[in-house]
Amino acid sequence: MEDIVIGGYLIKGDRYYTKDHEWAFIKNGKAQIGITDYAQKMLGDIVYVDLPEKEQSIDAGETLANVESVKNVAPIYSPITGTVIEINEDLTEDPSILNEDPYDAGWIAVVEMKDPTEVEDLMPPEDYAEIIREIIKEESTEESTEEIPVEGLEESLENLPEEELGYEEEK
Amino acid sequence: MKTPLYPLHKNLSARFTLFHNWHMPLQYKSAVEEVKAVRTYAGVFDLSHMGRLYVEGKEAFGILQKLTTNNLKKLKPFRVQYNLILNQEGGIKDDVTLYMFSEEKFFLCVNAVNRQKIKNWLNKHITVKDVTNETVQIAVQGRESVSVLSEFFDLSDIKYYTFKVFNNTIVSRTGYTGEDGFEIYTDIKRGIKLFTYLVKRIQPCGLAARDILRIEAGYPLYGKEISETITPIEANLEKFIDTSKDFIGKEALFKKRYNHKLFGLEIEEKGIPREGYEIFKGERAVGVVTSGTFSPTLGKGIALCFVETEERKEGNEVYLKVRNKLLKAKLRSYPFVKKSKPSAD
Repeated sequence: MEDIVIGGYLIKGDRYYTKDHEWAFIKNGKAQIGITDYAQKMLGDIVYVDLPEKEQSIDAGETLANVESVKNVAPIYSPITGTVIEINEDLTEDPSILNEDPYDAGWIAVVEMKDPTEVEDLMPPEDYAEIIREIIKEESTEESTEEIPVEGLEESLENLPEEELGYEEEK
Repeated sequence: MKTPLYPLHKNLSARFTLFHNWHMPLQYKSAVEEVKAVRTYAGVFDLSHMGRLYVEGKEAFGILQKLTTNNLKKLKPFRVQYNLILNQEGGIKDDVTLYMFSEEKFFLCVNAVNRQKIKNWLNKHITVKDVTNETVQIAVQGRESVSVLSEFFDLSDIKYYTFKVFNNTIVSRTGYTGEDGFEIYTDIKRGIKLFTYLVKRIQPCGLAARDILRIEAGYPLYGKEISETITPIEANLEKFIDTSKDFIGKEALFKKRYNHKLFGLEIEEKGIPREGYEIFKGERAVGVVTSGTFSPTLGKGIALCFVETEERKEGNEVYLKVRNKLLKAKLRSYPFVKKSKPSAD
């Protein structure tokens, strides 16, 4: 499947997604797991990743890792039930890989799947794209203010009626 | 609420956060880059959500002297003072910057969340004029602030914690970052023009950077390190209490028993302290984090925290409970990042 880009957020066409913005790339009964482009952008500068232990068994929906940005900590839930067989140690050395390349070099762990049919509970790219589309729609209706371009603002200021310059109160 | 600069933030692709009912920029591109800009050059902040109040009248000096802990006698016209307003129990109603025009005219900058409360409190004694909705507040912080702002204002005689007025615009050498810098209070039109110009020259910074910078500088934030139930002694703000004068809350303040006091913590392993995390000495919880962050300047996790007074010792080795792990940390005094004194000070 083709990659999808919505509102500047990349959604890779070759993998599955969760509503919590994790992805799972499935191959030979193994799931490589990471966070989406949207997730890394929302988190901001990632400075630390608390990785799972190798050999650790994990249930779908359980916390697999914790990703810490400067001001936030976000639990990453495993999309899949199974055993952690690989972890991305590069993230310990340089967590910013997660910001730069969330779908590739920024993978978090590989889980050996206990039940391959679990994939059916995950979302294909187009469904996840729909979620992102909804989020963006909500954000833009929440903030439906008149756009004033920064360029040329100084000139247009003189023509602005006073009432458009005030504080906007919530309805 | 949205400030008049909101459309400019949108154009700069800011990500927003709801801060006490205000839609404010959380960060533009990267909070880390914004912190670095302020620490190495300069950055600009929209602080229009803060409350801006004038207190005027023959009794202004006497009334404010009674309502605050710091001594107004140390003020002169065109000087600024950091000050605290207490409740009857000695807890902190708000921390404010107090600008003196004359004994009969003062300007106060108060926290956004406390604006109505402080207005009501002051109104019992004196008339308050709230100019928040007619003005904007912009901070320019960082060592290059002078060169950036000199194009607009003659800053030559504005020393640390003093201010000047240019055409209804107040410019003070104050801030919340631990760097040299200025806060500008002006009308909405001028504010939009100034901000539009400044973001072309220097990094716009959001509330995330502002919070990181103030933690690095060791400044308390209302709702975290200070509140109605925390006294200035517990918050380690004794130097802003003048015991030689009388003020509301004084008696209760010195009567209140306390066993925790604000201190700093620096983590020695990989991990980041967050609000509410507990601090352990052996098996015993001896403190709790009120504000924590990764410090881009120091490259490690730091925090402000309340710790038991007997454990409040420089270099005290403790553990911070991060989720299910205990991470090595040490207690220390703050600021974590030393204030670079402005040359004109």
